[in-house]
Amino acid sequence: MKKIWFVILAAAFFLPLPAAMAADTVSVVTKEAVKEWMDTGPVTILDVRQGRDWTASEVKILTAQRVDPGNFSAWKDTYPKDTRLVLYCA
Amino acid sequence: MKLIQPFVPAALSLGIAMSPDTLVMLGNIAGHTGYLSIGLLLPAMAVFMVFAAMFARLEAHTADTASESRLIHDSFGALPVYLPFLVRVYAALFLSTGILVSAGFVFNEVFFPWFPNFGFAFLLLAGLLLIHLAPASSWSGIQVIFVLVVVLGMMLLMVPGLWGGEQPMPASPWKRVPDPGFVCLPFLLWIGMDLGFFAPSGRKTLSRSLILAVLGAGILFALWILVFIRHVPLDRLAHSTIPHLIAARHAAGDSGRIIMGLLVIFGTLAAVNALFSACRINAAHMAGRGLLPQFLSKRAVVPLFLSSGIAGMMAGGMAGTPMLESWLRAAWILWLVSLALTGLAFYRHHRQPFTLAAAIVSTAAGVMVLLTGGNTVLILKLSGLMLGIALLTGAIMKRQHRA
Repeated sequence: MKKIWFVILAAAFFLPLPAAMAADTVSVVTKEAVKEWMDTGPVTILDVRQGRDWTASEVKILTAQRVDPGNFSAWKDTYPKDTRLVLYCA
Repeated sequence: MKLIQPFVPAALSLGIAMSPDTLVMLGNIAGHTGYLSIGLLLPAMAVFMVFAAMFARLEAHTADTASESRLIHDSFGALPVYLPFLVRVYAALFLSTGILVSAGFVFNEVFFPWFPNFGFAFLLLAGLLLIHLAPASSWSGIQVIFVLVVVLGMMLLMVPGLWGGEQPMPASPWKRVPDPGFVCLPFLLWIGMDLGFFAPSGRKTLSRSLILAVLGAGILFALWILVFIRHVPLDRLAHSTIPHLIAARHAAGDSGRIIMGLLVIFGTLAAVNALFSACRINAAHMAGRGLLPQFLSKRAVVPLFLSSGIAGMMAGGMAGTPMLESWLRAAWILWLVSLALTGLAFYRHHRQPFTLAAAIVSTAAGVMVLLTGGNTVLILKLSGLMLGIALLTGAIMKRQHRA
């Protein structure tokens, strides 16, 4: 019985590992493409990192604006329609 | 290995103090209070020295770490007995989740950008779990090595930090607003000093080890405040989330950044290993006294439980939410309260006025941290919830003992 508990707990520990290692299937954009967009029209870079994802990171884009991704409806209409929004998360 | 054993209590005591979060807090305190921050360290250091002496005396009387629970039980009854143990568990869950993720970012950004940050955080956690599942007590020797690497690294960076490096960065015009919150924050820097009480070896010199750990940490903190102020403008220090990386990079260039990157990773290992070890031994001794179920005395159970909780929180994205910091702040406040509780219980039995004073100051510092750190209502609710769980556990166990 005790061995079963150990197996369950060990499985619970290792289960999230592949999920954390795998990249999500979201469309990404290269920095070259963003630079090209910036040369041709208005672009706003939004840093959507929260908590430690933001505080622990040394890499922060100076001109990026921080927004809460969980509160999308609060800020989605604050940018002009012709501005391309680039969401930055890592 | 025998050579290392006498240093295990000090290494456990210094575990949390060596975490990257402590360096961030130290930088922010220095930014808000300038050179005054060195003076602000003194009352906190004095309080923790009293607590260190108290734990050493508890050991001298009974040679049993469950004596802490018994002392609280004799003074205040069964209800608050589980508070010190559960506070350590809360900190193990929330601090470990935060600093493992921070270490993952540092590994990714400083060393290997191609390696996933979360993957590294999970690898660190898995490595620590394996150390605790291994049959030998290798965790204690490894703890000494983790702490030694961080202390030596901090001292190494102090050389360019105090005497060399580039010109100070230009400061932006910023009028410092006195913030009473930063007067009490130094009390959080020494949290975890009581973990040395759970060392399985080196107990003959426990008193000396704990007091030297408090003093040594104080000296390191004071010198690092000087490094911070010398290299980073106060306005940037006060608000930065990575003041340690900025100071190290400015003091010693890319080498400083790499050394600080290693310090963050080893400091994380030291803190998580210290918390895992203390929680495991604390649980085993309490189970031995009938205060917890017997299965918790098995060496693998507590590390597996903690690792599963941390892995679940990391995978669930807890570190990527501001809530983690609120949980952590609530745990720190309860830790101060728990130390005060043990201090008051000790005073009732031994009539040591210093312990009473330390308990009062520790409680006041906890209240100040709660009132001045922002999100007061939320943190009060979270502290209340964690305290409620501890009291409920006490009530359930009391009922089981009666039955």
